[in-house]
Parts: sequence; structure tokens; C-alpha cells
Amino acid sequence: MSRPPVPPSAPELDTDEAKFLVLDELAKVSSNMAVAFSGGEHLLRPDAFDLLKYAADLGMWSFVNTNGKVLVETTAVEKALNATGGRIIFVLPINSVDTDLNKSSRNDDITTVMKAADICREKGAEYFFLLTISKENLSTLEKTIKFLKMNRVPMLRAPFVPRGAGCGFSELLFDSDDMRKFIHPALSANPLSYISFTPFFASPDKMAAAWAEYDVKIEGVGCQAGRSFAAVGAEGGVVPCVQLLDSGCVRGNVREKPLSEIILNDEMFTALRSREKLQGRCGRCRYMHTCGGCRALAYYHTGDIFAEDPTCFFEPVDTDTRSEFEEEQTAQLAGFINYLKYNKPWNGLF
Amino acid sequence: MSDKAEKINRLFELFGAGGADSGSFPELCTAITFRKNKENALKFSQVDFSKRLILLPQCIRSTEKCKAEEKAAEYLCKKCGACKAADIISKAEELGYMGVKILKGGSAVARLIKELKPEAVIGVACSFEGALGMLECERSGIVVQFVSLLRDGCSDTDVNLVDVYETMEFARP
Repeated sequence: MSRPPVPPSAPELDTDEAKFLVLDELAKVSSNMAVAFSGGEHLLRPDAFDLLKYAADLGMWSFVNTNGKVLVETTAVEKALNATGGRIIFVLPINSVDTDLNKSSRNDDITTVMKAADICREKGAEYFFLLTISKENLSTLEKTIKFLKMNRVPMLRAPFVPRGAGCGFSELLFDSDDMRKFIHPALSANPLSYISFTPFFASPDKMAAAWAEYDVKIEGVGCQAGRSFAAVGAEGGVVPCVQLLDSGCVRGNVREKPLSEIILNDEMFTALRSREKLQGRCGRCRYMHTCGGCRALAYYHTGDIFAEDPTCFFEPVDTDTRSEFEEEQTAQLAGFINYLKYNKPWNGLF
Repeated sequence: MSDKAEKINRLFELFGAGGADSGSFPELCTAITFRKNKENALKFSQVDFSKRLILLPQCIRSTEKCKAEEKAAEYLCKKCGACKAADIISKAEELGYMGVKILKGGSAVARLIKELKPEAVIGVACSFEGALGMLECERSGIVVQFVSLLRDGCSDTDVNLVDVYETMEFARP
């Protein structure tokens, strides 16, 4: 795949802006915040470790998305651990265990990422895997997820969306048939695939019981756009989810409006939290609050962030319709909560 | 002090009650197995199947129907099919594993490791024996992955074959 460079639309946030307009503002929203420094390659910024330290001093955990090269070729892992006092989690991308397929979207086989994982483990740094799903890697999805599962660390699925370097590749967006045949079965087989994936049919009635059994309460179930997620673009634009950066869902700019105000009071953010504006099948679904449909996919398929998730295969008549997967996914939720309970720092991050 | 009490004391000494957020002993054992599985996973995935050994507990056998022959600290499976040991052994043969041992007790682990010199071990057991076995393997420099029994109770126990097979097949591409 040949990907075009995406030039910035305005000057990128500088160090002070990132500290005062983003990190300080996040700290106002909640005392249990984590911040993800996404790509490009955050560790190539001259102020990378300064920002990580600043976030840690505010009590935040930092997630750093990296292709692993910097971790393998430099002492970045140690420097990040030192800067944050250990409050760092590296996010390592693997789209396929098949070399050619992984190279197609990541320009590398998985060797670098696995070496980076080795280094993280040796140095005592936490990490997890990020798997971007598109039509391109469906054929190896089951095998890839099984491999990631056995690494015994969480895995986050991201849907491919045509933004950034993915602009112009709309044909790679997966559909409801792909979801039913390949994606949902593969993700459901791995309790560590993190529960923010959709569609997710955990019983709304049984969640409280699962929390009580494992003595862990998690807020992030189903789509987290505007709920526990918000994203700030390199130029300061604020959206409810990282997948929506640079889209028509920008709700303001941190240079013009406080981030905390946008997150707490913006109409789109509050409606995403309450889920009162969800349309179509998502709007009449029993799992509205434990799933909610992927808002980013709804947006990229229809242009409306509140539209029904077109990649979902569930056809509810009304809020009483139960999915055949409810029992299985409720068990998966319990499995994930059990993992959280016994695995630091995950038990403190939800 | 009983054998079990001595083992429990050893676990607390080695790992400390602070290892688990909750202080109960079963939770401590579970926390140990979670942590050790994670710590060992990457290295385990790089060990050739022919250098991996599988250790099963004797309690997985059917007390009524088992045809296994007792030999020293082991049971030699006759693949009667009354429990899941035969399935695991067949899978291990198919993949080219070093072998599968059905142990009478956890104390045989150290001896077997010394004797057979595997590079990696898959242990199936209750969390208590699993935690001990993992620490024993670690002390001997053997990478280990643990699969918990679905129910314990020291006889006629059970394990999820999918979990065992996935662990057996786990290899870095």
C-alpha cells in the first residue's frame, strides 16, 4: 500500500501547549486519567520524555503508541520508565502474523514489535498490542488474535477508518458480514481483546454482579467515544475518539476553548455519554450502554456519528431483544475483569 | 508442620502477600500464575515443540475408569479415553512434543526437569500446585506456562482442552 504524507493544517502544539492546554486540562476532568501519546512516533519529539514526566507528575499513566523501532534501537524504554516513575505503557502494533500482510499496513514484519516487547518485559515496562482491523487482514485475524492472546497481555482492536494515512482507502472498511463471519468470533475468543470493541453484548443486568464478584468496577464497556475517550489532534482539534481526528466531528480547539470544558459540556460529548441520540438499531438496542455501536464507524459509513453502527449484525426489534451471544460475552466480561483484578497496572486504570 | 502448610509458607516467603491485591491464599496463588504466565510467555513462544514437556496432575484421571499403570512417581496413560489426558497426549505427539507426564504429586517436578532437561514446561494443575510448580521451574531456569484446572478437588478434575491446545500451539511466527 502506498500512503501519502498528511501535512499539518496548522502549527503543531508545542511543549507548553501540550502541558498546559492538554495535560493540565485533563487533570481537571478526573483524578484517574491516563493519556495516550499516539502517532506519528511520539518518541521522536524532542520533548517526548519531558511530556511523559509532566503527565506522570500529574498522576497520570501514559500510553505511547510506537512501531517499536525506537524501543529496539535506543534506550527509550529505560528513559520513559525513569521519566514516569514506571507509569508508562507501550502500545505495539501488530495487524497480522502473516509477514506480507503486516508489512502492507505497517511497513514491517512483526520482528521489530516482538523485539520491542522482549525489551519491555526485560526492563519491567508494561505493554499491550494494538490490532487495526480492515478487510485486508481478515483472513489471518483468528490466527493473529490467538497469537496475541497467548502473549498474556491485553489487546486493543482498532477499526480501520479512512483518515490520516488511510485516506483514500475506503474500500478497506469492513462491513457487517465481515463482522459476523470473522471479527466478532475472533475477538470474542480472547477475553484480553479488551471490552471496548463493538458489537459487545454483555448483559446490562449482570455487569454489577460481575463487578461485585471480582471486586473490580470498570467504566469502559463498549464504545468509549466521548465517554472515557477524547482525542486531541496535533494541531489542537478535539474529537470524541482518536479514530475521528481531522474529521467533521471536531468540537473545538484547545487553543481557543479549555479542553475540560469541551469534554464535560460539549453537546456531542454529553449525548455520546448518555447515548440518548443513538439512531436506528443502536437506538433501540438492549446493549445501548454496554455497547453503543462504534461511533467512528457509524460516522465514516454515514456521515452521522449518532447513526446506527452499520458494521453490526444484530437486528433488535426493541430493547427486549436479546443477542444469542449475551451469555458468552457476559462471561468474557467476567474474564476480563478477572484479568484486571490480578494484573497491575490494569486494575487501577479502569 | 504439614507438607501443605510448609508449601504455603514457602509461597508467601517467595512472593509475599503483597503480590495480590486481596490477601486470601487462593487469590495469591492465582495472582502468581497470572504474573508468571505473562512473564514467561514471550520466551516460551520461542522454544521448539520438541523441547517442551507437559506435566499433568494425577487428579485429572477418572478414579473409576482409569487404566493407567503406576510407575514410580508417574502414571503411564493407556489412552483409555476416560479423561482428557489421552487427548492431550495425542495432540503432543502430533505436534512433536518431548512428552507428557502424569504426576502423582508436585514434588516430582524438580526431579523430572533435572532428568529430562526440557527448555519449557506446560503445567496443568490447580492454582496452588501451579504456583508452586511455576516457581520451581523458574528456579531451574525453565520457561513455563500454566493452565488452570476448571475444577479442582484432588480427584476427577477437569481442564479446558481449548486452553491446553492453544498453549501447546503457541509459537512465535
